[in-house]
Order: sequence, then C-alpha cells, then structure tokens
Amino acid sequence: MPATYEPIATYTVSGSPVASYTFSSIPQTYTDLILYSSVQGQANGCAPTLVLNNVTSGTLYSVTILYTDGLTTWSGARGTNLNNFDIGTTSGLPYANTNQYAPVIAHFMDYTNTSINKTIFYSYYNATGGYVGGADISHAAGLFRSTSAITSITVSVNNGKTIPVGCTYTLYGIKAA
Amino acid sequence: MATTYQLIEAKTLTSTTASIIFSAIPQTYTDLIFVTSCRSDGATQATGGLVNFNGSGTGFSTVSGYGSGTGIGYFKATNEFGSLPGSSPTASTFSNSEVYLPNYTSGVHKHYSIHTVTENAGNEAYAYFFGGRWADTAAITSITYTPAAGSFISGSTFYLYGIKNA
Amino acid sequence: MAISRFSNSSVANGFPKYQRFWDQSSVEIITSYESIATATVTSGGAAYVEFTSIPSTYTHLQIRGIAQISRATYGIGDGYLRFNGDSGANYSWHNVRSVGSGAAQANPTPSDSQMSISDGMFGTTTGGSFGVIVIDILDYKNTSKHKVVRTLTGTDFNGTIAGYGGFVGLNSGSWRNTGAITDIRIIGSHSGFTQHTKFALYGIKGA
Repeated sequence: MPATYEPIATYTVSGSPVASYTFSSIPQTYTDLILYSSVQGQANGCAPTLVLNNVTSGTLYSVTILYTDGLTTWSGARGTNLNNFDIGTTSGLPYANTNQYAPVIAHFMDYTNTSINKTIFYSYYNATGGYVGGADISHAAGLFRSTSAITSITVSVNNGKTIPVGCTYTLYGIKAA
Repeated sequence: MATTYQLIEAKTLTSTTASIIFSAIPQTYTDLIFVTSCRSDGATQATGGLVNFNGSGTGFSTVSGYGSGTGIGYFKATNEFGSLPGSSPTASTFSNSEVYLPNYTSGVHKHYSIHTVTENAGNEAYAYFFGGRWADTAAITSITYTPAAGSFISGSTFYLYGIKNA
Repeated sequence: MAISRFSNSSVANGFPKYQRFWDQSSVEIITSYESIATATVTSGGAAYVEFTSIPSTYTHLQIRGIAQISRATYGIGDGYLRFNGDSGANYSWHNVRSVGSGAAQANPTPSDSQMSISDGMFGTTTGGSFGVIVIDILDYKNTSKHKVVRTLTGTDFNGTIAGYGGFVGLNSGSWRNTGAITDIRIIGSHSGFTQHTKFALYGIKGA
C-alpha cells in the first residue's frame, strides 16, 4: 500500500543529451502525481514540454498561462489545439551555463479518473540565463482532452532541441485517504 | 534514514527577532521546502524577506510577478526570498509563503521557486510568484532569513522540510 | 508479536504507521505529510463539501483537488471557503490571475462572508473542464493568528466561451479569527459542484 507522499521514479540525463524521456507504466495506486524537475535548455529560448500517454496528435492539449520576465511584462497567454503541453513564453529556461537548472513543476490531479478530461498545473521559474540572459516565470493550467488515466509522462524541451546532461526529473505519488 | 517528506526543523519566535537561521542542514535530502508564517514590525504594508545561503547574501538573482490587491507589478531583484506583512495590515495576520529549493546539495547553481501571499482587511494585499537563483555551486548548509524592513515579530513561525527522491 | 494499524482512521487519529508488520520488528515511518480525508461529489452534485472534526495533531493543512461547477453560459466558475461554520463578514481575499490574454489582473475583496479560493478558476459544465486546486493553510490551530490561506487554482477548456477560455492564478485569503480550524466547508458557486469534484485533505506536521 503506498505511503501518502512517495517517490515513484527519478531520471537524470547523463552522458549525452536526450530528445525526451518517458516515465512509463506509472502506478495507478495514487491520487495525484507531482513531477519536480530541474531543467535547462540546450539553446537560446528553450521551454519545457510534456506529453501524456504518448499522445502527440489530435491537438488535445491547451494551456492558460500567467508569465513575466520581470522587466517588460506580467501577462496572460493561451495556447489552444496543441499536440503537447508547451508553456514557453518569453526567455524560457536557462542555457549556456552548465550550472543553471530551473525548477519545473507539474501537478496531475486525480490522474487515474476515467470520467474526466485531465487538468494540470505546469510551471517553470527561471531567474536568469534564458534567452538573451533573461528571466521567465511561466505558470499555467493545462487541459488534456482525454478521459484516459495517465499511464505515462514524456518530458522534453521545445524548438526541436534536446535535454542537456544534468537535468533531473522526479515523479512523486500522493495518496489520499 | 530520510523519508520522502520530513520536517527538519521548526522555529517559533517568542520575541522580536532580527533574523532566523537554519544551520547544519542535513545533506541527506534531495530538495528543501521552506515554509513561513511571519510578520515584520517595519512600518509598511509588506516587505521583502531576504535570504543568505551559507552566510552569503551575494550572487542572487530574482524575478517576480505579483498582485497588490488593486494593481499588478513585476521586477527583478537579488536575494528576495518571499514577502511578509509589516505593521500596517490587519493585526494578527501573518504571511503564507512556500519556497521550493531543489537539488540543494548539488554542485550547480541553486534555483528555486516561491509562492507568497499576505492578507489584509483592506484593498492592499500581496500575492507573489518568485523565481530565484544563487550563483554558487556549494551545497546549502544554512539558510538565514531576514526582513528587509524591521524585525520579525513574536509568533512568526518558520519550517524547513526535506524531500527525498527515489 | 507486532500489531500494525493500517486504516485511514488510524492516520487521522495520529497513530503511527509501521513499515513492516507481523514480524516482531517494526520500524516506524516518520513522515510529515499525511492524508486525513477525501470528499468526492457523487451523482446529483453538491452545493458544498465539508471536512469536519479536523484533528489537531498537525501544524498545517493542504487541500488538493479538482472541481467543476454547474453553470450555464460560462466555462469558468468559483469556489469559496468557510471555517468552523462562520458565515459572518470575517473574511478577506485577494488574487493575481491571468485570463489568458492582456495584463495580469489583481482583485481585492477586503470583507466578505466567505473566502474566494477560485475567482473564476474552476471549470464548469458549460466548458466541460475541471479546475485544479492546491490550498495551503499554515498554522491552522495557532490561537494567536488569523488564518491566512494561499491557493493555486486554474482551469482551461481549449476554446473560448463568452469571451473566456481559462483562468490561472494565485489567491490569498484571511479568516479574521484566532480559533483553531476544526471545520472547512468548500462551497461551489452557481448551482454547486458536479459529480467527480473531489477534494483531499492532508495534514503536515510542524513539530
């Protein structure tokens, strides 16, 4: 029987950059999932992305975002009819400095419920070192228009780039009474 | 043995205090969560909470977007680590703030995220998103937290939790 | 002979959980984050859900959930908190949010008979989505403090309905009462919560 708050799996990119990584065969014994990550982008202006259940067609994803670069804007944005969760807005993730990995956090509530489409929280918090050295907070609610239970989560970055060495991802399960 | 989500230390102030410090932080967790319910005696609606890691207050960068009740704002700063009410808002009302600090023992710069709110029976109250970075590769062994204005008042509480990954 | 407790009520009553049982050598799991109770709305919906007799064995509370409001015309709905049955004008709340375009918005309510935890960030039957929510209540039994609540909520339903397609933001709220929280009522706006709305209450130890 799972404990209330429990790590499920951890992945660290080592050796060479990877295009993506999939947490597969996610146990269906929890209530919520939290994905805590420390991520940088390979190149200028990368943002983190998520795919659920290996679904990359059908434009089943959408997001409502609140974002700021700390200098020019604190605004809202939306992405509709997407083929993944992409919340890139301004400066994106840190890059170019191998010491910088920004927190990227995703909450998946009631992920095993097969009666509802799945709404998630998805955020990253980059204080500096993004596009042209900029900062970027991007906080979003996202919709995956599928009633399937979430059995896999694939992490990547956008703009056709790869996930650099040193990025870490840990999936936790939370079990309600 | 570190379990997944565990209290490391808690502090409750019984008198006005200039700053608090969590020292000798165990290096057995993966991430830290720093939770505060505090208030300053500075004559202001809200003031920043400032951090030192390992006794250092340099090398920090912060970005923030916030609401002030009737307005919004955004800024870049240095070692802001949340916000707390000063003496002006409704009495007995303390901050509610959480810092998520991943990979605090790693040999890379330390990035973190913060959600902070203050409250007030008036129009002015604050809700902040912060992103921060400490440009130092040292493992974090101590956290010092200080209000930018005034001192922490009695009743302020601070909690440090460890998160252990798989 | 070791005897272990593995019921939900044992957790709610603060009895420790053990890593192994029936082996005469049990190791107590020390965890600061524990599940207390879950409230799920069944068919027919509900105007509110409620957690009562909240144990005093924790320091903080967290509520995690999904919520949908029964509401025509709009894809966005609201939710509110009341503590210990107090419906007096003893609450204040504020937020900063995105409505999916334009500048971020801030909203103040200095005095109210309930605390908004959503302000448009729950889904509705019209939009077909659920909102997600994480509510953090620190020092909930501290008798020297008003109770300040921090909430992340958000919803999205892909298109737009009546001009709105989704909201996301950070909410704050205060209950101007120093009493320990023993009861939390979560109230849905308009025609209330729909089936599958679910809130789970967790306790976090601080000592």
